[in-house]
Amino acid sequence: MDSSGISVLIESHQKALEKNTKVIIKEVSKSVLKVIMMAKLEQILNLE
Amino acid sequence: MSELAHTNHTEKKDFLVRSSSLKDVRSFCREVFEKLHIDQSLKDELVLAIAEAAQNIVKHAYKDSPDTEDKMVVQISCKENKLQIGFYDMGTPVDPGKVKHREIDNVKPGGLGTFFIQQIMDAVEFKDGKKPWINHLVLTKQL
Repeated sequence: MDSSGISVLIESHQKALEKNTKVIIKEVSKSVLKVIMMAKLEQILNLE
Repeated sequence: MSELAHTNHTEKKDFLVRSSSLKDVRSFCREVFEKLHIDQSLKDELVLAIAEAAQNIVKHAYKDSPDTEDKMVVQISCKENKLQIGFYDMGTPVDPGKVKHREIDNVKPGGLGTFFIQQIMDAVEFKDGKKPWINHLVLTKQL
């Protein structure tokens, strides 16, 4: 997971919001979570 | 930290300037970091920073030449627990003053590669590229 992956997550999240729905990200691995946290997105994306 | 990490160790490899080379860049770096016995967590971070820097060469320095046959070189050196990663390319000259990441609170796709590099590394320096190189980026991390 790199910045391109983060871009895909943000884009999906924002498109879902526009359609009044949401993207839920499940079973996030430790390494991916680390990158999400580095981007300060853990409170913005829906992680389960 | 391993014994090897205390010794001088340098490896370099060239890669075609293509997004498809990034997998090989990551593999090369992982192999070198394994020899240096760098722990998994730091290894993941370093590989991320390196992949972002290599991606920036493809996306920005070679923005107008997607089908180039040019190669970029990644050099990893470890000396007295100081890790230096050098990137050499022959693309469009980089203006260091224009290399900025987006505001982290302005959530939108893109603009995070440089932010990740800065978060992970201790220093990010653009040096003068000596012929035949145009750009020479050096990332430094104290181990």
